[in-house]
Order: sequence, then C-alpha cells, then structure tokens
Amino acid sequence: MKIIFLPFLLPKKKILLIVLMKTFLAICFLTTFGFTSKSVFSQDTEIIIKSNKVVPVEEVFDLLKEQTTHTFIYRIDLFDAMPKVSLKKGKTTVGQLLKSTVSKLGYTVEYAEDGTILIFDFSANNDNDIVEQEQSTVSGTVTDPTGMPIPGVNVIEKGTSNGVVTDFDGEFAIEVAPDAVLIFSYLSYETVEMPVDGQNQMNITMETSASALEEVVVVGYGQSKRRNLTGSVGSIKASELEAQPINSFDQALQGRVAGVQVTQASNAPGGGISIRIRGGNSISASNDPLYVIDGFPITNPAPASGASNSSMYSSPLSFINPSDIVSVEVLKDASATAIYGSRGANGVVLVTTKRGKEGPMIIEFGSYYGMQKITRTLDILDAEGQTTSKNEQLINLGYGERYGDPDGNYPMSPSEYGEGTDWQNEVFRVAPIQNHQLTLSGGSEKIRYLISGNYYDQDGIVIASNFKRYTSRLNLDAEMSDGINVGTNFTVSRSINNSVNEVGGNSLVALALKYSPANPIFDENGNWQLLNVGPGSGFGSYANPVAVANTTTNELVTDRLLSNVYANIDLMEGLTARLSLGVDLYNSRRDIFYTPETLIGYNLNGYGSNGSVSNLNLLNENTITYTKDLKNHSFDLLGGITFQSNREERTFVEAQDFPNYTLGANNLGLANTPLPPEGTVREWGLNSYLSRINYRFMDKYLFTLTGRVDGSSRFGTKNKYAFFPSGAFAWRISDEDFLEDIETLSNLKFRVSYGSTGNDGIGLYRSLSEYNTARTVFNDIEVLTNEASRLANPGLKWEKTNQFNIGLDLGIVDNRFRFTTNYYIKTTSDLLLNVKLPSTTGFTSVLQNVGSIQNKGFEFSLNTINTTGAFHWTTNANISFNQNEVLSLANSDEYLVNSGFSTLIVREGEPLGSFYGNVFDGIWQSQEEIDNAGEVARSGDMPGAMKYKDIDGNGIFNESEDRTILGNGLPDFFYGITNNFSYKSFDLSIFFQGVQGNEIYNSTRAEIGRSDPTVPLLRTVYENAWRSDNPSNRYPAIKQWRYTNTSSNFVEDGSFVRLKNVTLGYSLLTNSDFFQSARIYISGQNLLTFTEYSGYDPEVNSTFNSNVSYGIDAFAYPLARTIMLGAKVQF
Amino acid sequence: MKKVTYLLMISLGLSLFSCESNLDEVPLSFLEESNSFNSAEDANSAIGAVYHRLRGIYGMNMINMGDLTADDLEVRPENGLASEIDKLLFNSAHPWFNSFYTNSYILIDRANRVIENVPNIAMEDEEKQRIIAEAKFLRALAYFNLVRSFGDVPLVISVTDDITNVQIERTDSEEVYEFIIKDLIEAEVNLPLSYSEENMVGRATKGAAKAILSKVYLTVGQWENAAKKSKEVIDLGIYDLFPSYEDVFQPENRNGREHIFSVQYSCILSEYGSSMAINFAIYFTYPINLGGGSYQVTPEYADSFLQGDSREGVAVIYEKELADGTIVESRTGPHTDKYWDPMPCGSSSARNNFMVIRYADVLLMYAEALNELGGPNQEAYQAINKVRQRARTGNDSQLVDLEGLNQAEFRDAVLQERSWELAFEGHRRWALLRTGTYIEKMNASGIPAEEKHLLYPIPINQMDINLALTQNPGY
Repeated sequence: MKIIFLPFLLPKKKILLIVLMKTFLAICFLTTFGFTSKSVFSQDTEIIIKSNKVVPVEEVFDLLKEQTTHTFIYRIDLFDAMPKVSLKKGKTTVGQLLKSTVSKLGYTVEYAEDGTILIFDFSANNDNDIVEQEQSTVSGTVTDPTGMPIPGVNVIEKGTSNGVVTDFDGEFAIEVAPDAVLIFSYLSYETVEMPVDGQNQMNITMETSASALEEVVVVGYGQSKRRNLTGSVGSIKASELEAQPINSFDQALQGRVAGVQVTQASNAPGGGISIRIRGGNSISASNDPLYVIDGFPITNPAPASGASNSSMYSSPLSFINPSDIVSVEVLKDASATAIYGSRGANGVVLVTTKRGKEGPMIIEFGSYYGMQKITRTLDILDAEGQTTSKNEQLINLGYGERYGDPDGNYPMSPSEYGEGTDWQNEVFRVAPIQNHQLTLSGGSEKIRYLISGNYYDQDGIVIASNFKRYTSRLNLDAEMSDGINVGTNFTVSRSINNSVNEVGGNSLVALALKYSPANPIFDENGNWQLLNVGPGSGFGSYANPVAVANTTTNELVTDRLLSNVYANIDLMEGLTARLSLGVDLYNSRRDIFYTPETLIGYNLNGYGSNGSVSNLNLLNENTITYTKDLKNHSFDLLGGITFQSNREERTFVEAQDFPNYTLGANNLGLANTPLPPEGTVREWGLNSYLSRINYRFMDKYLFTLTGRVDGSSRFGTKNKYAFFPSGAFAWRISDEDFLEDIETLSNLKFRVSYGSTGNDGIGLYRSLSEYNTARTVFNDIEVLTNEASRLANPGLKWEKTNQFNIGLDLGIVDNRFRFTTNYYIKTTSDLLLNVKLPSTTGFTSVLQNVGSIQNKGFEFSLNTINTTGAFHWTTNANISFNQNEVLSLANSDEYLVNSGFSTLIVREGEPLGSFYGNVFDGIWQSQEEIDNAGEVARSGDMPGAMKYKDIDGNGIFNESEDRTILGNGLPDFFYGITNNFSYKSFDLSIFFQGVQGNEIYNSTRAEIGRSDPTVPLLRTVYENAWRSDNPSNRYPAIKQWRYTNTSSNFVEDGSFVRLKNVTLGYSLLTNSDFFQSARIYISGQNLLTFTEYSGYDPEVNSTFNSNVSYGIDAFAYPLARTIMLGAKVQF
Repeated sequence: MKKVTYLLMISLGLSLFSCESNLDEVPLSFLEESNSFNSAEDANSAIGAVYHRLRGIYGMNMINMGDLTADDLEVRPENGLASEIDKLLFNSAHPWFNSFYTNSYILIDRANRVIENVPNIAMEDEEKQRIIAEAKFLRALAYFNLVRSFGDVPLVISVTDDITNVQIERTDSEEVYEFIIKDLIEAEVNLPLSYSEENMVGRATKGAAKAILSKVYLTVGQWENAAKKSKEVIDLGIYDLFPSYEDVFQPENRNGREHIFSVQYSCILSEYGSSMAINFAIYFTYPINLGGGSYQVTPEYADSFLQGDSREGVAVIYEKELADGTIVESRTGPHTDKYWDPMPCGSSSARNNFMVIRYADVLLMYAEALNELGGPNQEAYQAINKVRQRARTGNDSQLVDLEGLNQAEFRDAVLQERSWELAFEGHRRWALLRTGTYIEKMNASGIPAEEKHLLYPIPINQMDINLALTQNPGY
C-alpha cells in the first residue's frame, strides 16, 4: 500500500496518525487516498451509482472505497457541517464524481501522477499545532448536542470485540491500536464511527437519531425516503418486534401504528388475529390487508379442515419468524396502496427481512424463556353450590329437593359434595414459552448473506394446547458482474399446532365452565368420568374437559416454503430492470381424533378425520425503474408487469366407529364406517400491469401518480379487467424560504391523496353456477345426490374503495418532536352481498355487487425525544378514530345475521354489525305488577322472571318485534403509548395499549350467567338471584326462564387499557474473546388490564374473521400473562 | 452480462405468453348444470337431491305446520318459537313459515330442473319416465303443502335462471290445485308399484301417487275422485295394516307394508337421523340424559281415548322405561311414545321415518270420501272399522265396530278416528281445515282461533323481496 502524505504529516509505519486539537477548525489536508491496485488510479476510473440519493459527503468516499481499492482517512466530523450532495444513478467516473460533489463544496481536487488524489481546502487556517504522537489509550467524553454527558454509550473498536461503556460522566478510556476506528453507539443516537487518528483524547458529540426524514421506508415495488413520501405509511422496526412473546409479526402491530386495529382473536398458542386497517370495508369479502413478504404478495389458504367440534383459528402468518424481520410497513392511503390494485383496498402490510451486510461474520444468538398464566378466572359455583342451586330451582318449580333426598337417586346432600372439582383449575395451567434464534450474517464486497434458524415452543395455558415452530432463512445478495445484482430470499418453516376446540358451547373452556363440579375427574373404576353425574341429575350433558383434552387429537401441521430470486440489471444510467420469480408452497395437514372417552366419540364409538391442503403460488414480476434528476426536477418512474397464479388442492376424510382406536387418526381405515371423502381443486390467476410516476419539483413539491390494471380470474366474464388509479401531492412547507427563519421548525409537510383500490377477496368461482354433490339415504342405504347450489352471476366483480387522505407531518426542535396526523374518508362501493332472492327462484340468495360502506377517521401519532443525555427518554404515542357506516344495502335497508351466538343487524346508517335484540328491563317483583303489565309480560311470567322492554310501545312484548340495537363491537378509538427509557446500560420500555367505546356480546355469560343450574352458575348470579326476601332487579329467580335470543343483559362495555408490555434490559460489552456484546432482559406481557368487562378478557373476537359479528365472546381461549427472561449475545 | 440479460429477457417473454390463459375460470372440482345431466346415474343423483329436500318440509317442520297449530299437540312454553305457533300468537315474521315456504320452493326448483333436463339424457326410456314422474310427484307434494298452508301461492313450473326478473305473483289456489292434480296424474302413470332394488325402497310409487291424489281430491271436495283413488290404493293389494298399532312406529318396521310413502331417515350416520325422537321424549330422559322434548300431548287428547283402545298406550304416556330399566316419570304431563327410538345415533338424531301417508290414512280417506258422496255405506264402515279392529286388539268387546250413523255422525266419527289413529303425524290441522271444523275445535281447546288462522301468513321476508306478493287477510 502506497500512501502519499502532505509534508506536514509524518508517516509512521503504514499508519497515519494525527492529533487534532480542540481548537482545530479546519485543516487544509482533508483526505488522502492510497491504492494498491496495479491499474493506475485515475480520475477516469468508473464508478457505479446504484440509485438516486442525497447523501452526506462521507458517503461519496465510502463509494470510492467500495468501488476502488483505495482507503482514505479523514476526520470523521469534517464534513458534518457540509451540505449533502446528490448522487445520480448510473455510471460516472471518479473525476466527475468528485467534481460534482467535493469540488462543488469549494474544495480543490488534485490528481497526482501516481494516482493519488489530494483534496485541499485553502480557505481555512492551517496554523494548527500538529503533533505526532503514539498512544495506546484513548480517553474522552461523549456528550449530546447540548453538551450533556451520555453515560452507557458503547464504545467499540471497529472489527474487534474490544469495547467499553461510558461512565456516568460520559467518560471512557479504551486501549486501542493507534490506527483503530472507534464506534460509538447508543440507543436513540446516531452511531458515530471515528478513527482514532493517533489521538489520545476524543470528545464525541452524538446526534440524536431524529433524522427520521432520511429514514428509508419500503413502499410497494420500491423504497422511498420518508421525506419524499406522499402517501400515508406507518412502520415499525425490529426493535419493536423484539422482546415480545409473539409468534407472528402482525401481533406486534398492535398499538404501534395509527389506524391499525389488531385484535388477538385467539389467544391459543399459534392463534390468529383480526387486523383492520382503517376499519372494515367489506361485508362478504375479505377485510384482511394484503401481506407482502420481501416483495411477494402472499395469500393465506385456509388451513386443512377438521372434524366437527375442533374449531381453531391459527395464525396464517406465524410461518414468518418475527426475529428475521427488520421492518414492517403499513400502507394505508390510496397513494400508497393503489400500486397493489385489486388487492389494496384493505391496506397493505410490507414485511422486510434482515439481510447480510459487508463485513466479518456476525453470529448472534438470542433466546427467551417465559411462563404464562391466565390473567383471571371466573367465580362460579362449586359442587355444593351447584347442587344447592339445583335444589332451589326444583323447589321453585314445585318439585322436591333432589340432592339429599334419601329416597332418590342422589341421597348425598349438597354439603357432602363439598367443593368438588374446580374444573378451571384442572384445565388452566402455568405454561412455558421459549424462543431460540441463531443468526449468521456478513459478506464480502460481492456476496452478502444472512442465515438464520429459529425454534419457538409455546405451551398453551389450556392443557393439551401447544405450538411449535421451526424456521430457517437464507437471504443472499450477490453482484454477478457490473450492473447485475442477483439475490434470493428463502425461508422454510414447519409449525405444529396442537389445539383444543376453541369456540362455543363445546369448546374446552366451555366444558371447564359447564361440566359439573360435582363430578370427579375419574370414576370409581379409575376411568375418565365421562358424562355428568347421572341421568336425572338435572345437569346438562357435557363431556369431562380433562378427559376430552387428554384423549382428543387435534393437530395441525403446516409446512411452508417462501422463496424468490431476483435480478437487478442496470441497463443504462438511471434505468434498471428487475425481474423476480417467486414460489410460495404451503402444505398443511390436520388430524382430529375423538376416542370414545369424549362425548362426541362416545356416541360414535371413535371419530377421526384427516384433512390436507396443498397450495402452490407462483409469482413473476418484471419491473423497470428510471430515475432522472434535472436541475429542479426529479423523476422516479416505475413500470411493471406481474403474473401470479395459485392452485389449491384440498382433501378431507372422516371415519367413525373404531373397534380399535389405539392408532387414532393415523389410520382411518381401521374404522367400520368411513365417510365419503371430500376434495377440491381450485385455481386463480392475476395478471397485472402497473406504473408509478414520482415527480419532485425543487424537492418541495412532490407528486405521485399510480395506476394498476388487474386482470383477475375471480371476476365474472363481463368484468375481467379493472383499473385502479391514484394521485397524490405533498408540499414540504418547511423547505420554503418564508419558513427558513423559524429555526425550531425542522419539518412541515402537507399531504393529500385520492385514489381507487379494489378488494378481490371475493372467493373463487363465485360468478359461476354450481352444482353440489352430496348424499342422502333410502332404506338405510346411501345414494349420491347432485343439485344446483348457486346461480351464476357473470357480472360479478371486485369491491371498489375510493379513499381520500389528507395529512400533515410536523417536526420541531431538530425533529425531537414529530407529529403526524391523517384524516381519511374511504368509501367502498359495489359491495359484494348475498342479495336475497325470493324462494320461488329455488335459491335464497345470489352474490351481487351492491351496497356501499364508509369508513372515515383521524389518526394521530407523536414521537418525542423527551430527554437526552444520561437519562434518555422517548415516547411514541398514537391514537386512531374510525367511524364505520353502512351507506346502502341490497333490496332492503337492513338484514339480520346470526353469528351462532347472538343476532346482529346490518342496517343502513349504522356501523357494520350491531348487536340486535331485546332490552332487559329488570325483574318482575310481584304478580300484581305482572297483571298490570298486560301483554308486556310474557305468558308464564311470574315474580322473579325477567322483564323486557316493549320497544315499539304497542303494549305487547314480542321477541322479534321488540328488538333494537344494543351496541356494536367497533371501538370509538384505540391507542397505544410506548415510553422508552435508558440510563447507562439499562433500558426500560413501557407499553400501554387500549381500546375505547366498543361493546362485547358476552355469550359465555349468556350460558353460565343464566339462572338455570344445569351448569354451575356464576356466583353473583346465584347469590344475588331474585328471592322473595331478596327483591333483585338484576338477576332472576333460580328457575328456568325463557331467554331471548339476544338480550342487552349480555352486552357489555369492552373498553380497556392494558399495560401490554414492560421490558427491562441490561446491555454489556466485554473485552472477552468469547463474545462481543450481550443484552439480557426481563419482559412482562399483558401485565395489567383495566376494564369493566366481566369475562376472561375484553380483547376477544370469537367469530374470528367474520366481518359482521365483531366482538363476541363465546368461551374464547383466555389471555395469558407472560413473564419472560431473555438474552441476546453477539459473537 | 449480456448472456444473463438475454436469458432473463427470454424468460420474461415466455412468462408473458404463458400466463394469458390464467384468467379463465374453469371449475376443477365441482359440477355445473351443463355437466350434471349426462347419464342415467346423473338423473338418479338429481332426483335423489329432490327427495333429500323433503327433510326441510317434513320431520319436525310438518309437526309444527300440521299438528302444533291444532288441538292435539302442545308445547312447553320454554320453547318460545314453537309456543307462538302452538298458541296461534305468530305473525308473518315467524321464521318457521319462511323456512317452510323456502324449503318447499327449493324442492320445487330442483324438481323443475329434473323435469327439464332429464328428457334430454340418453337413457332407458322407462327409467327416464319414472324419474320425471318422481319429480312431478315430489313437486306436487310440495305445492300441496304450500297451498294448504298459505292459500294462493306463486306457481313456478320451470327453472329460474334469470336473477333479475324474480317478482312472481300468487296464483289462485284453484289453479294450483289443478296443477297438483295434473302432476300427480302424470306421475301415477309412470311410477312403479314398488322397487326391487334395496337402495330405491322409499322412493315414490304408483300407490303413493294415488294416495296423495286421493287426499288432494278430498281437500278440494272431489269426493268421487277421492274415493276412486283410495279404492285403487286398497285394490292394489300390496298394502295392509300392521297387526299391531305399536308396530307402525318401530324403527325396525320402516318402509313396511302399511307405509305407503315416508321421508327416509336413518342412523347409518347421525346426519341422516331425524329429530322427532328427542323433541317428543319425556323431559330429561332421552337417551342418555341428553335433555328431552318439549312437545307434549294436550290433556284433552290424552283423556279422549275409549276403553280398550290399544293406541292410547302408544299415543299417550306418562312415564318411560329406559333400556337400563330405569323408569323416568314425566314431570310435565302426558307425552307421546310414537317416536321413541331406543337406539338413536345422536342427541337429536334417530331412525324414525316421517310417514307422509300410510295405509290406515287411506282407509279413513276412503271412508270419508264415501260418506261425503252420500252418507256412510257398507264400504265406508268396512274401511273405518278395519282401523278400529286393529286398535282393539285383544278385547273385541271394547271399541266396537261403528254402525248406524248418519252422514254427519259418520263425518265426526272419521275425524275422531283420525285423531286417535294419526295424531302427531302431521295431519290434524289439514283434517280440521278440510272438514271446516278448525275454528270450532281450536276454540274448544281453549286457543282462540279466527278466520285468519285458516291460512298461515305469507312470510314477511318473502314479501320484502318479492314485491308482487300480497298478504293473507288478517296478518
């Protein structure tokens, strides 16, 4: 290596050492380049710039360093005060590059004969005291821009494991080789890399990492600087994904991104969530956003089917290992989503995984282990209570007591039954959760890699439930030759989900609440106690939940491989083509088996099923981008053609009556009664043509135009193609001259967008007529049947959403306070509805595009850096208000939906899906009151019975006519607030999240909160029941009453505030050869919940993805509180 | 670099050409109308589906429509929706009317599809004609129930494929009856006397068409035709009464010699079972402590039997001995034992067929028709007494043969005999309507009935979407 120095610098070995004094303002010598290459370094050497960017001057040298063999040395902060320079995509030469950047800034560039480049600044004084000095200890102070010392800063010698941490006064001392480069890093500050340059004293000023405007966010088919965005894009980073016991990244969006409502629909391990971006747009089609993983828009096939009574809701996204993710972007407005055309209406979630960076291999190992426990249990009667209440009921009905009657079947008195079995205690457990992750990453100039492996294992808090996942990933980027970069993302996963029946009256949670505590777990012979205590007990017939859990097989195994390869080809300056091919292979198998020990298996003498799904999704994307910067005009153009196709193959077999059931579901051929096999094959295709124009005038006025044409097989023959345009404008007001003087204003941007997107989640083949093949029976012999099951509608098409968005981004005091707000109006028309047909057609409904629905709302988010220095404190908060209204429906202005647990109404002018039923109006206190009420009292009503309101006031209570809207499951607003604190090596994060103004239909209480002791009653219901000496106006007498289908009695306020996560971490650096850095943390999830809701937990959605019945609690799998301990070590 | 670029360009070009066809949507795993009627097997599958639709009209649906609004059956008040029917407190919004109406028309459409498509299938003519005849029989049966329930109803006799022009007016009930009679006459010609294939037993026969036709004639007052058709059934010689009344209801005896046409239920799979057993079972007993039924016998009906009528023990019980010997007493009054199945296949799934028409009914129809033609004659007495003779099995001195009645007395006697013989089999309301005694009998049983109750209301849900419909008076 040959290095040329200016005369006043002294060479020392191969190392350049300079000591710069504090008073040093500028030096005339700025940079020196050396080279080793045999080819003479000259100003004609070609340099390739991969994309348009505005960069600090240092990056120009980074670029030269990357693409030539030269190294260079300069003072790290030398260019800090310099304006940024803009690089244009394409090929250039060293000379041109330096001319257009460094020379422009007022420096002189000289090219020496031997290729050395000298850069001078003659404007500055050079009367500096320069001393050659060799030191092995460097010490100094790290301060923030206000001069406050920052303790706890990691100071590492680059490329080594040598490191220290600054003390309370921000001071450090480190032994380093004199040519070392020190890296200063600390949470929420920009990392600083500083060559020692022979100094023994280095005072470092760290800037807060508030330069969020320069942050690059991923957008559809590309990426953009936040400052250049015209659309509404929310994003979360890896740091927010970590330290939460989540199996799927979408869970981490909860409370973090404005406008995104996340509801954990199933708390079972591996359970899925309901996610709504700016409210639900659709009644019949999907309301789920489009998920795009590293550019691959994935579809999530329904998992394999299972036999009846095995409902579960598994997360389709858990195949992505959250630890692999570097960022998740949520595209919300039409400007951002229209590029996804017919799939953009529900918002788009872009997931970007981590990639390797050039440098030595980094090995990172992270693990956590935790314990989970149910947050609360319900207070229900024990065995004595249930038998006592049964006796009371029988007396109220005019019979004698059953329990304790020496002549009857049940001579034991209630007190002899005692507490009995606490089934909640038997069914819920303290369950471990663990996650282990190993990541290897690094690379050379030409090839960069990241390899990871992950193992996640979570036991559910309900016995027998468990979720395990194994994933591995390989992300590779390689430069094949000049201008051609290729790479791949490859991930494969297996998840094994052992679940319990989750929903409704036969779910395991339901059995735990409904099976009589008077029953033992095992009968006197040591076998499972199967049914309730016996015939005539008066208790409902439910299966023993412990027996069901222990003898039932309910396993879902899912394998998924997601892989794509891409090539980026630079065709000419500014013009790049990108081609990619991807495959998403999904296989799932579900095995269900009920032994005769379960009630369902008892009747059928063993009952099992095998279901399987194989789904193959292929994607080809071909895009071209062109970037051009003229004086005041910048263009980014995108054009592309994409093809996606999908084939799903599904089979399902069931069998009953197993003489020998020891093999369970593994061999259904052992059954006496195999049921007819079922199978489907379905295909869809999507051909798309897309383009986008970004135009920036003077970097202040930003325009985006997007258009996409989608041709979809799902649409009817009359509507195969659809066009989805959008336009947006943004104005960076803070860059205007008239605002330049306001120093505290660091950013002010106004955005407006309007556009159209579609929802193609309308199912497959829905426009075609269908015949349905089934079976019937004659004379105890099955025969095939085939009949029409659907009328054709060739006019069927996508649902269309037009969205208007107006937004403002504000940053003040060096962007320490950043505020973003958006207002949007989304109107969805051509809603896909099952339009009712007169029965005389032979059908009850046909799918048509009619009706419309509107969502509008405000979103606010605030990110602040509250304190800097020793004690660092940042706050991120967001709150979202969404109003949902059905604007019009098909051939009636309302229709009813039976969720299976309650009735809901979809009515024009109301939010989608309101609970609809009778209003509970207290308890009849006397016969006289009943007599006076006339027909408002129902036949058979007597004192102690429930009263319902005569809504229409016609003097007659009629269950169907006297119904009204009782509430709905959509919140008025939801919010999240995260406070991050750090002090020295400690960091603390406190995350609150909440939902306000939604109602829950507590179907669980509708079953166990009735005054009929066929099930153990809720203690409050029993103790406060109406009795002649206890004139309750809330709880009826212990009897059997006619309950209406849906009653206000069971509609509850679902608002809550949750201390969702608290994480306390401690980071350490060592000089150990064994590892470089380590962080240990303790984290608590779901620590506290403040709510009035009486069930297990207010975050509930038992009907899962139903668009209409939101907020029903039907024995939902309860929430767990998790405490875990984790560590992450870098080697 | 060039090589790679060319390679990529080629692959891009290929993908452009190869992907255009992926927008065509071709069903890969389900049938459409175009490929559903290709063979004799297809025709049998299509008619099988029409039979299957009977389950949406019969079973508990027919009990509710045909018995619950009459005077022999009542329901526990806890069963809210049923109770509204029972007490005649329903209105046009009651969902059961809508489901009865809807299921009837779905059956009619599926039958229409068979009648339109099967003639084009290349298959043996006899089988083809038989299948068309079956479809006509089933279509007629559905219209018969509709017109008895709602009066004038839309008469749809061809396949609907236009989804916009669906506002169809009600057709005068007389015209509907004419169409029913036409269908049944055509069906009668091509239906077989019986089926030899095991898996066809239970399908419509000549006897079934004649028997239903007789009932239709009886309903519209064509006594002579009614008597003629009943006589033809009797003269076929293939039907007879079971020796004992009890046998009629044993699940083992399904599709026996007395059963002319039954909706088929089975326990080979629980999904094929019927739900009458649990609905009628004594509270808390059935079959392994799975709850029990709320459908009960009215006390007046329970007390109506004469001494020595063996039917009483089947029609009315107060306790039931379970398989394990346990005796469960009713806590809520008399129940019926007609639908008890000791070996059900699920909590609401048992083997009981629903008997649409059986031989005893034909005998009583014959007696009724003859009496209306000119008073009771010998044949009329023979027919009714044949039913009574079986009922008094064991003691000839009780429930003696009828004789010496005038026309009115005989009419009452037949109606009473029907009550004893055919209670809770979906007939009582229609018999009362036919004989013009509905309001009188209902009022006598303590449920005030009015003129409007002679017809059920047109379901409001249908009125909402078929604007051409009008409502029955009084609703």
